[in-house]
Amino acid sequence: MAYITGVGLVNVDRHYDKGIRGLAFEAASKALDSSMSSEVDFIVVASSLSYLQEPQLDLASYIASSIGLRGARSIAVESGEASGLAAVMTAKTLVESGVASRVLVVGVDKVSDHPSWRAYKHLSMLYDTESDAFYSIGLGGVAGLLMRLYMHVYKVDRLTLAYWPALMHSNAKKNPYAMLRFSITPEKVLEAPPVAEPLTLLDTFPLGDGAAALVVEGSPSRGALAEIAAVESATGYQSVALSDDPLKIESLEVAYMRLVERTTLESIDVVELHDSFTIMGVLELETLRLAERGKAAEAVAQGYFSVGGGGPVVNPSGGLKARGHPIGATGVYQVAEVALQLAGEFPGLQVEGAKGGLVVSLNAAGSSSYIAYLRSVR
Amino acid sequence: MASMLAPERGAGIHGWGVYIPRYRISMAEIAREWGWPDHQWKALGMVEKAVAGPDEDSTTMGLEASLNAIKRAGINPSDIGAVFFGTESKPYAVKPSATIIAEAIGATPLTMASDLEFACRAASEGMRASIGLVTSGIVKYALVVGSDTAQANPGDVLEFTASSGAAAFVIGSSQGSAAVFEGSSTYVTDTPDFWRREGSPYPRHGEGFTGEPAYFAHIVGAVRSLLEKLGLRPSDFNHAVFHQPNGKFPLKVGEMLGFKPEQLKVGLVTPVIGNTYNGSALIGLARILDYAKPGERILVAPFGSGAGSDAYSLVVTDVVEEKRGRAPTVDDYINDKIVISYSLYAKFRDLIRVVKE
Repeated sequence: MAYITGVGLVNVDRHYDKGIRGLAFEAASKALDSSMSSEVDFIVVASSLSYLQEPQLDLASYIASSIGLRGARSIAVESGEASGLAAVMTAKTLVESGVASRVLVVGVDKVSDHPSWRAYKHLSMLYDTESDAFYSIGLGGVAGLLMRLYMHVYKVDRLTLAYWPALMHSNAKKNPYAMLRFSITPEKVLEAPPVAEPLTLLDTFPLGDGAAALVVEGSPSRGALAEIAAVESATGYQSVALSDDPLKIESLEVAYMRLVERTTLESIDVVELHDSFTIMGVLELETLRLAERGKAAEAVAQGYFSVGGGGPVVNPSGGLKARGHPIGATGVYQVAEVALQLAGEFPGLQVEGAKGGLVVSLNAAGSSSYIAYLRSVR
Repeated sequence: MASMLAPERGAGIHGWGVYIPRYRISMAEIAREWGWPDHQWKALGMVEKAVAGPDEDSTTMGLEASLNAIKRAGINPSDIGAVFFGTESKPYAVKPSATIIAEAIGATPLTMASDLEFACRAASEGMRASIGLVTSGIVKYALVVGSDTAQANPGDVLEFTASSGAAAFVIGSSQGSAAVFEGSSTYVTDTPDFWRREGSPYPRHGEGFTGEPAYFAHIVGAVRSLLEKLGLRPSDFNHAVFHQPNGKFPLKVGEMLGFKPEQLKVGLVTPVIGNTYNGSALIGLARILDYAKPGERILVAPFGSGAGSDAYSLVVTDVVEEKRGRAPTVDDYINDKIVISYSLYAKFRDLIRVVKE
């Protein structure tokens, strides 16, 4: 059994005045304070771009000493955009195996120390560097191809797909940790500059810095926010060109089947998905069978995944689109947000009476996928 | 009142003059060439920018502005004891440009002359130094020139705004001046928001980093320091002019500081001529002097990347009116224009590499 007993979040933004040490310290301090603990057995650091952007290796000791916990056992986890949830999986394994009783998970990444062209060059390395990244297809390029294919195969128009970013912006408005806290209309998404047609700028996540932390315990002495019932994962292709069915995220499907085998999903009231691009959010809903294939965009447009819409509330945080996506830290944000939802303490759009929630984090278009089910303990 | 003792009160502006090249290129034309969507330039609050002709550079434009300023000052150029040339586009990397202007106006040989570099606020630093030279009695008059043929990498968003133009001011004793300085403040830090390395043809910028931590933080820092020093509030000013890299930033910084859009209206020229860099806030100041009534108070706050800002408070005197007609106004230059195509702009700005055998 693994429980979340404390969370700490830094608002996602361009933190020009803070480095990864300062950001990590802020999140870790808040998490330790909220769990009312000062000692941990193990630190799991999640980061992806720091190795290239700082650049800094051995982040495990770098972050441990930065947050004043020099001497603690520490390990760093890098799994691209999914690093955060991979780190939570590691923490859960550590407490359940008895290796540690209290683990601090710290996710941190910073992109605004570089001009955006360099940040995007680093981000292209999330894809296969011998094929997709080598040919500079880029993040937007792959998502643009998937979106075009989706529209063609399922006869979905572009406007229907624009309801996703509009919903994300609407959800983020009350989230104090979100980067983009303003409304946009679906029409505005279509008018935005094209990134890779038909995908526009408003279908993508903003570049932002952030850090999030969690305290994970095996048998908490005080009340926990939520239980991490299960975390599962699977690997997939690094390039969508190799996929038999690009409109299904194969690695996520396998991870989800493994999750269902491992635990019972009694109630899915809230879901935090990895919507690096509109199309990714839509494909994840369909891969998880929360919507029929080809129907998720329409369901979003009709409000099925909004509060009171009949389905689980999707991305009440605003998702990667509007909360922001500090790459390796994002999975930690998502788990913290769902834990707060289940404890009834989320400071933004709170899903009332939420009993269970899913967190999905993946790298690129699904080169690896992680999924967690969190359960309320209240 | 402490402000009565401010040493700046001993200095004033005796003459002001500008030069804006005749050629204009529209934002729509640049956007068409590079495939930018219209909202890209509309968001900058821009319409057109001024383009220097093929036979113009920062010294020729600076000289034109200086001659206009000297005409308004009505002084003997040999009484000018200092010439400060603020630019980031000087024709010679080594060899002063200030001497070209000093010689051409007839201020040489018994004068100081130097080029100043601080991105877009070099000339403004020259203005503050001039106040010191004049009030100490070391020189009778100082000439401050801000002039640029701003460079931008073709296709960069910077290309929408980087333009050409110049402003010049004759600074002397407050006696007989058109506007008297009331006080000044400077606020600088080491903030790398915009730069051009040696040997690099175009500047680079830190994208969003040029905004909050650079432009806004420094102008707000300088202006708040000045207001505190003088015990003044934004409502005490009839006009305010800030560095104007585009049409939006000055309005936003004005709002942050508590100025109303009406106070900024006369000095806002970037939407129709572009960002003239060292001339940016100073051409705005010149336009205010073209229109201001005696007794009106003006706030001027140039900004330079790297980064720093100065804030000045000026009070217009009765003399302003008799000086106005002596030289062309800012509006005379704004209205005298020829709109050109991107290809002609590329030729004029030497963006087409022609191999000469």
